[in-house]
Amino acid sequence: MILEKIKPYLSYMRKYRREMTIGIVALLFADLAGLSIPWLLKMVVDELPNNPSDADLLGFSGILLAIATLQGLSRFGWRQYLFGTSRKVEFDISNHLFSHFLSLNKSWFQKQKIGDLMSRATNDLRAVRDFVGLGFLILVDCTVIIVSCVGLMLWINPSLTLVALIPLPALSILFWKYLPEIGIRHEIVQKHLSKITSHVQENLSGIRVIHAFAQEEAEKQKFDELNKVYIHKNLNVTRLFGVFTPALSLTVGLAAMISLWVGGEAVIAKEMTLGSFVAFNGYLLMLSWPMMGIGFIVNLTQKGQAAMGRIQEIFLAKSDIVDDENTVNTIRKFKGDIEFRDLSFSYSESDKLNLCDINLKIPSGQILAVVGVIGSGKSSLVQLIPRLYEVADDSLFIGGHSIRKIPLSVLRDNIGYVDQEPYLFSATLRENIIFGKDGVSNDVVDDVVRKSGLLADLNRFPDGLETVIGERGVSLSGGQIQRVALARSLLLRPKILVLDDAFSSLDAETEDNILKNIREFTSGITTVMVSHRLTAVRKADRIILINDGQILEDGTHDELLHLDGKYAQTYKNQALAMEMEITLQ
Amino acid sequence: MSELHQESLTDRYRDWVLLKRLVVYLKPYRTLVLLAVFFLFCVSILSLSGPYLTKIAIDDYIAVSNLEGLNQIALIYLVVLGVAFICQFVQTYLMQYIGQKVMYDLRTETFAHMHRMSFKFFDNNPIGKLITRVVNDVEVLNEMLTSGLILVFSDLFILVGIFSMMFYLEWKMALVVCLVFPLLYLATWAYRVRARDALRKNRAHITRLNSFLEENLSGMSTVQIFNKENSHENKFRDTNKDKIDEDLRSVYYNAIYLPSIDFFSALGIALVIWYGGGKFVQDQIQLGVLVAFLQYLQKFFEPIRDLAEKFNIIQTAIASAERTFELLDTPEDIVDSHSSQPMKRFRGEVEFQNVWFYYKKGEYVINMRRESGDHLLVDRLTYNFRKPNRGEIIVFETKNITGIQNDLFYIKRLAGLPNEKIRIGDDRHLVINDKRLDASDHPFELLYSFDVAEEIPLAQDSRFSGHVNQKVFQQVLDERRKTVARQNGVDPSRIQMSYAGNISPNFIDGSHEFQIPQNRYLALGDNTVSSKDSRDWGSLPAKNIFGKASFIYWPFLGQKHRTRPNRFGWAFQ
Repeated sequence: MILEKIKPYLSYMRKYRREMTIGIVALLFADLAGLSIPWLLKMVVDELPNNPSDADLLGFSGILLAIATLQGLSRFGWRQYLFGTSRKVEFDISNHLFSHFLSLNKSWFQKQKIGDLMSRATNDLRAVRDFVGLGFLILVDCTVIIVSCVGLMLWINPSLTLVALIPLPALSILFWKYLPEIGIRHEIVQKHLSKITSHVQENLSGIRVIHAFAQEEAEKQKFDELNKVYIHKNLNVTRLFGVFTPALSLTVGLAAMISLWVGGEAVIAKEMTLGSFVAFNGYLLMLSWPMMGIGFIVNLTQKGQAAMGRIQEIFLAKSDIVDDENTVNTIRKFKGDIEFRDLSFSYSESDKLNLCDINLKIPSGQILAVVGVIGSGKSSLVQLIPRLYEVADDSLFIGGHSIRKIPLSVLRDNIGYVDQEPYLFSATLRENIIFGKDGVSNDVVDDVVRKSGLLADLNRFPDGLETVIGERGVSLSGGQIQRVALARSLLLRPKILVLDDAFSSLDAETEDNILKNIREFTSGITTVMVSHRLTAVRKADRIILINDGQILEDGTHDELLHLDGKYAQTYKNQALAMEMEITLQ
Repeated sequence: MSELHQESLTDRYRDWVLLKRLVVYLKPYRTLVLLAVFFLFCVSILSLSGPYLTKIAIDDYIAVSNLEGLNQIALIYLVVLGVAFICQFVQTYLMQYIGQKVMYDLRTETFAHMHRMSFKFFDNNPIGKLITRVVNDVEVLNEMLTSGLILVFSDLFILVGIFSMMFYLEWKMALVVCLVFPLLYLATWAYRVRARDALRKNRAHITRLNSFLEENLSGMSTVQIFNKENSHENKFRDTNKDKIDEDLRSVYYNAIYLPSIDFFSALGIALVIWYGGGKFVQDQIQLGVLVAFLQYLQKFFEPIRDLAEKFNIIQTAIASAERTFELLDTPEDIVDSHSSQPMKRFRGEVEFQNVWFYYKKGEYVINMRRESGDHLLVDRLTYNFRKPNRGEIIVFETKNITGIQNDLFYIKRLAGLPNEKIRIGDDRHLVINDKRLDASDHPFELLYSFDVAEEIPLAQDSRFSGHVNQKVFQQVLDERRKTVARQNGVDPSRIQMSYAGNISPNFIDGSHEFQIPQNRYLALGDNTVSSKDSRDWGSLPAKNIFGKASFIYWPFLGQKHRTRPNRFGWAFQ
């Protein structure tokens, strides 16, 4: 069970087997040196009644210092090599984890809470590191010390050893009964901390919404409750731990008491020398650390194992959207025509089909507008084009190739996709715009800035294009974010441009201007745009109206008006509303 | 960029100051803290009694073959162990309890503080970093309070106790052992400086790494669509490399310092053997004293080693405390509108209802929406000498007013003063403390100059239409719906008003009374059928008032595409 969880991580350690071997050898030397010190003291104490000379005493001191030096050096060795290695293992795992995150697809991320993922990538990873470094060290250290101490004690006085060790089985009871329970409770605490993290994360991300709806107090209340529960759960652990630690000292103390009592009698009865008695007590004292160490290691294992399980869950998640054996690597570019062939689609968890039997051919260079009410499937349809979600084989063709045959990087290099709520990074405006392409000239950047209608906004920013924008670009308005995202995609000079309700935050006038610019810029580029504003789409080459996952109407603006169906009806309503807005101003 | 934006590596707070501040959080629990310290003291004393009992056993009983006395000592030992067990349990539980409580207080405070920050603050501070503050840093502080700080007390007790015992047993030998301490001090000092530096840098890198991770997790599909996987992987690796370098530096310092303590311990033992052995040979000390010394010396270096291990915890905690307090100390208001240079006449460029305002700490960079706004002069002088009067046109910030975007400037007419009761009558007149305002009240002459007899008009310039409550607004709306329907030849019910219906939740109808709280004002727009004002979002705090609007200086000519008339030169009355 434990081994199974550790197994995937062994390969990370294997990489550093040389360092780890050095570390273990150093550890063994350190233990050896540590064990010889009580023995040396025994010799001293036994020698003392024989009136040793000053030179003898100096000799003992010298030997002791020599041993101590060896011990110090070996301790340096194992710290450097075992702890250092555990940091390196952590480094490797976190790099690997990050690469793995990069490979997972949108549907997976939608099911996760970012706070939880963060907690796994930080807190859990730390637990794994401690397990690998500290846990491994203690395991070796404890085994060596327990075995040698008990061995030496038996050598000095077997019967005394047996009596003195009587309390020790109590330790095993403590370990097997208490520690698993502590582990379980600890895991509960960790999980709860991850909840708190999520709550903070959600609060901070949505701070504007929370304030807009005056939900601060409610959120504080929720946070307060989470924290109170957290205290409670922590104290649950403490109650057990509070018994556990003193019980360890008690057990060790009892052993020392017995040794003093029974050993004292043995010395009085001349069954052993005073020196042996001192050494015996020394070894007994040395045993107390590994006794606690066992507790420590069990604890570390519990935590580490739970953490490994949680991290492994991420590693086991696999994206279905990857290049595989069906990928034709020779496809390096493609034309801009798109064909949906009997395509049906649903987000994995829902049974309901979001798109049903879509048949649609978009010739290269066409500007296609997709309209429909919220939830009709517009966005689902266009999100399939950059392969954000997976579709059945041979149901979607880009440039004549089935989308699953096109290498992912080639596909995405040639498709520009602008979201309704685009994500911008905490970087300068320029860095955000040239995000998808390296080594672009300033002229090109200026050009896309102009075409996206950002020029006027730039004057308003203190440092123009070099203005650093806050996380998620929140110091920009929704419309500005959308235009930066547009510039970012235009810069790629894609074959296909997908605008997924990309101008929802712009006023009609600006949207009109931008569309005019794009039209000029995108001649020859297939453009698929989703919009709610029908006045904006009427100049498109072709309009389709989606309803309930199916294409209901298909044609130019004039054709659809003539058809006098749903499109015509909605268009008239919207036109009327616009007119009224103007009168009302 | 605010100070917080860049992870600062400099000492912003002295350790001592930080410690004092942390102690403040312990104050509410001082009885418990005292109790915990008391129990700690007991545990320490009891743990010191072992070697002393051993010494008595050896010198007084074993050496003279006194079996009875030995039994007695064993019994005392047993009692000591039992008491120590109980004390240790109580102390552990108490400390955890206090730690959890303090952590709870700190977390609640940080969280609440975060909610009071302006949005600008969140623009300048990545979420990942703030999460670390509220969750992880506070957690580390708890670790410091429980296992760190208070255990230092116990370790100090033990150190002092051992010192006293050694001097009590044999002061000359104790002095000899003291030779080790200058070395110990030097080593500790050298370690402290370096380890601290490494640890701080490490923390800064961790924060950077976490922010980057958080951003990437949130914006993953953007990263993927733009094929940025490889470059971001490299960037992560580089940051991670910076972090591990500091990590390894810390490990290295520990690897040198901690074994050196063991070496000093051995040095102490060697000194005892050499000096104490000699004295024993000369019959100047007893064997039991020698053994007790050896045991005490072993125990003596345990707390020192402990202190060093805890030093890491404490260093981490100090860094965490620093950042937590830094966050708590970040003022809630980034710019105080009345602060800098109140005597200077401020030339603000304010758009009608919307101003774009970008600020860094302490400086103004004002920009505006050229395409749609009127620009006006704001008098920031007058209100330094007197309070605003009713009817004056004021410009105010929307900061901290719930229900509207918080980083704008609004311009409205001041309608209600603090503590007043106010109604909007169905006849479109304000009623203040039961007194109805009309056209004879300056400066409401124009505002109340509308013709009541006329059927509710589609006022092109709605400056002259009084004040409208929700009920009247509804009537206006219905009227307009009918008009539009008539013009378009459709049934009125088919017309959807895109215009929001709930303009005045605070004044439902003529009988609805609004009590203005202390230090707050009520502001209403003159364009009363479409203004988003106090009728919607309530009163505004006095400190939000930016100044008195004087006159529009831009644009000279009317604007194209605008339905509004040219208003150049309009003075606000």
